[in-house]
Amino acid sequence: MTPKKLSSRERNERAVADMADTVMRDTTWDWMRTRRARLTIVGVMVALLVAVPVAWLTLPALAALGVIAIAAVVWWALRMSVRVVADLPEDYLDERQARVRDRAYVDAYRWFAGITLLAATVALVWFVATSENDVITVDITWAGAMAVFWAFEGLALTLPSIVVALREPDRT
Amino acid sequence: MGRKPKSEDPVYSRIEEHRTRAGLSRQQLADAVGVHYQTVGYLERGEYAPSLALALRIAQLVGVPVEQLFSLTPFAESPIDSEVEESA
Repeated sequence: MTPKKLSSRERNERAVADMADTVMRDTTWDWMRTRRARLTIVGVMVALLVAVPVAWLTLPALAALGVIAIAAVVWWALRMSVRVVADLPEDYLDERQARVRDRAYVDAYRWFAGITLLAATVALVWFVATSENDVITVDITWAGAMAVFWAFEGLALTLPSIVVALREPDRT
Repeated sequence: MGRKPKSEDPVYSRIEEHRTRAGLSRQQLADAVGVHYQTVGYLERGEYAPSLALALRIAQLVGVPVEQLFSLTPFAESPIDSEVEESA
């Protein structure tokens, strides 16, 4: 009997299921799942969230991409430290994990909204303080646009896992 | 209406005693009722109150009524075996 050819959606679902099963049973990375290790990873992640836009503004593009690559590795470690609970679909989480994920998203949304509001307020104050006749011209380079984009994209991608990492007790 | 009870509010549990009595490891119990073994730890320490469906699945697995597994007040210090016999 010829095995049924899977659609790309079925292949994707199977890949997610395999990944979820592997991560949930994993013990290789348990050393990253202590409270101290999680706090360290969160600290490095936050530092890199600041470093990425700074790198776009101050370094050549290739070097900035290098900093993004380092941030991606730390993001992977952050997700593993919380068993990808913040990013998995509900079907692959038990009821407690789903509750942890949902709460993390509520808090991450509030943090994101707060940080965005702070950035908008700083920009507004700067505008009011420096503009003449309510007109200001901003020359933005490609690197500047990338700095703004990656600053907010980085926050959106990492905040849910950061919240879970800060909340989970010292047990794996 | 005020503050609503949360799943982290104390719910006293005797899962560990009944699981041990049934000869199950945390992983075996977790696999049988469809949760992560870490969640079994939360349940045993009383740090997470399960849904009714999960509580009933665990009770069925270890073969005791659900009220012998969970309580809103601390359990009396009585041997589990005598309670099980009384309920039979």
